[in-house]
Amino acid sequence: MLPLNYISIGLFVFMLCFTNSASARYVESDPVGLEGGPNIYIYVSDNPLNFTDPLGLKTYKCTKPLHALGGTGRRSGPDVPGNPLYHEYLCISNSGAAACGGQDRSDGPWSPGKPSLDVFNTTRCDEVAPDNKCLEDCLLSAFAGPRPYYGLCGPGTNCQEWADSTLKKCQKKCECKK
Amino acid sequence: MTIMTSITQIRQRGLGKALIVAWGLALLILIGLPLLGYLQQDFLGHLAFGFLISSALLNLSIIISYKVECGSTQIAKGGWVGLGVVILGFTLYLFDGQPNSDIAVFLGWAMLVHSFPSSLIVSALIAGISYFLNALAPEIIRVGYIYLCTVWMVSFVAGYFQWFKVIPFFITKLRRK
Repeated sequence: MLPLNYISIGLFVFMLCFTNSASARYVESDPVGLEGGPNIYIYVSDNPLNFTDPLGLKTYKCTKPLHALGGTGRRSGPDVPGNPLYHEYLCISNSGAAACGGQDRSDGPWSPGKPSLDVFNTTRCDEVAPDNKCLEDCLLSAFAGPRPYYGLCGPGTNCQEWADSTLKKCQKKCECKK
Repeated sequence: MTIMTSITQIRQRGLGKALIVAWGLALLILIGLPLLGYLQQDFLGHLAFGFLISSALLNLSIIISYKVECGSTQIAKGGWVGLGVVILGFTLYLFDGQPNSDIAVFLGWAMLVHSFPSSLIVSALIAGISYFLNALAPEIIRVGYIYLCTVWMVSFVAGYFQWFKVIPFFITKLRRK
């Protein structure tokens, strides 16, 4: 549903960005950046009849099975607590686009960390925070930042630890700002 | 003495039934989970998770076997060594040649459970060595068949010494006291 209060000046507010009614484009770039597509000024992939962005951005924690083992669910093997055979990452998403970030390794289970290449998948993601600009900015900054040394267990940070600690750090930072 | 005779004798001992239950559960999980996974189109994932749970149950059975005796430690040892070898075979079979293959992550978790708690020391040791080698000569420590076999061997040997050399040594010492 389109917000009506800005129609008179030809601008619609989509929680975080303004769109121009004549060009149907964002006046400022989409905060999800390039993850939403190569044109960061396009609203819901230029397909407003099929997609909407009524609530702005939300934060999600997502999982996916290990590629070597495969699987159709959220983990390789049964989706039960204690099963460590999955990759975990964070996403900031609306119904049209998403920015995701996670911890990957450059080589073995104990090697320099690097950003993981992840996609938002509604069936494997759980919402962990509603629309919150401070939190989203903090997470986007963390997604773009350097990664710590990867360690499966013991010294280093694995993907699950990175997702948990990054989310907690940003939530704490934004709580302090309130 | 056949395994069946041993099992009959083990059942009659104090914690014998608990030991048989642990072995039965380990076997049931190793067979049942992959079957369930096959139905859910996730055979390998369920089999891999089955290895982790069965390893934990076999470790528990080794501790109980020192109390039960009657050849139960030999059966537990056979199961533990056998499962360790199967984990290595599974890992090498699924290794796709990629440097950051997820199969190394599976091997790490599997050996962490299989050789727990000595695997914690092994992990810290491998992490330390990897850190220095990655800084000095990263080409030496690329994930490949040699890397996977080395990680498995170090964890396996540490686990073997822990379960079948160190623990019996301390048990004998305690009994003498």
